[in-house]
Amino acid sequence: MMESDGPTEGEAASGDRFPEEGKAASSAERLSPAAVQALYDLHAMEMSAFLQGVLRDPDGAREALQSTFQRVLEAGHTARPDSIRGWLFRVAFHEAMALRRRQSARERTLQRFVSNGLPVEGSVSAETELIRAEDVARLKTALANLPTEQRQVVERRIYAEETFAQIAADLKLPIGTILTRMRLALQKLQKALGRPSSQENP
Amino acid sequence: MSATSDHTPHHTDSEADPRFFRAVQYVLGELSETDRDAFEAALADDVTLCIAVAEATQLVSGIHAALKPAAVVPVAHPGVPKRDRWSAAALAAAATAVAATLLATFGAPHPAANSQAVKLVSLWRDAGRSEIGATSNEATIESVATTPIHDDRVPPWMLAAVSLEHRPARSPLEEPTEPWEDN
Repeated sequence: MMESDGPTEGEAASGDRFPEEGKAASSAERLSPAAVQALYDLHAMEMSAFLQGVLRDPDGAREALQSTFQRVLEAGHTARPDSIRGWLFRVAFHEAMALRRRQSARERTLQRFVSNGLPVEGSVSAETELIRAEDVARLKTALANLPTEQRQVVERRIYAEETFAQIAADLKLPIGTILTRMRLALQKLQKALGRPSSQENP
Repeated sequence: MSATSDHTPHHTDSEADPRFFRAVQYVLGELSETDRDAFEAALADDVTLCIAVAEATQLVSGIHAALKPAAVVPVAHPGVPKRDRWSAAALAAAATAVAATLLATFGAPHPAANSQAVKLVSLWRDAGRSEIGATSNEATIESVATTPIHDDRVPPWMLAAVSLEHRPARSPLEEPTEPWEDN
């Protein structure tokens, strides 16, 4: 949905999705460290969550977040202020994919030596500081108020890390029923969570 | 790509947006490889989908945190009742018995091993005494009577380790002599 975050004029003219290093402007035109810090304060939590969702690896997400804000230092000035959030997402996704390609190459090498393979699919839940403490408290209340059958699916999928298929097989229910319960539960939990104002555009 | 359309929504309308659930499935690793590739292809161009992924990750992370049992404050030796001087006597007797057993079991062939083992028992006993010293006089004689003394015994693995440490090296080709070794 490109219309939601227009590229800068330079990017649009060249058809590039990212400001390339060769096109980085002189340091005089770049964002000041204070401006980058302000962007970081505003968007780092959301970008970190996004990157962890894509990579499912807290360390990788951290690395990609660093790379993303390195890009902001180099080329953040080329993004329009009203589209900076979309620009950040695109850069972050690009960095995540680049990191995954590098990791894949490393893992292919490692897997030659490890017969069981490596746990590529890390747990999203391992990362901290993706969500505020007060939101966790709200979620606790909302979880307690869920119907038992919905709460059971949420607990088994997210906390016990069983797959939907495993849960369905164990409960002897169609997987569609499990997905529906999960979906209904998530709707309630997301509603209880609300959305913090920090996700607004700058 | 109009300027007005640059305003991304503050958040996805997850209640009405089936894509949010898709994002949750993506975050949880529930999509097939084909679906995941298609989803990521869409991510590259769709900022609202990126936002949905960020929100899904936050929600999943928050649910996990909410379901996690409250942290337990670590307490030193939580299951061991406090002991008084009566238990000190019981402890010393147990340590003496262990030392006697040790000497009887491992005998004289390896004096160094015996020495190490006796030191070990001594250290074990001292550790027990320091624990006692740190306790108050709250414990009663009744509690002493019910205190299991196995806490004060030297674990068998430790005795075995001491004896093995001082056993003469054996050739790997030598026939195994111990009952727990493979034939």
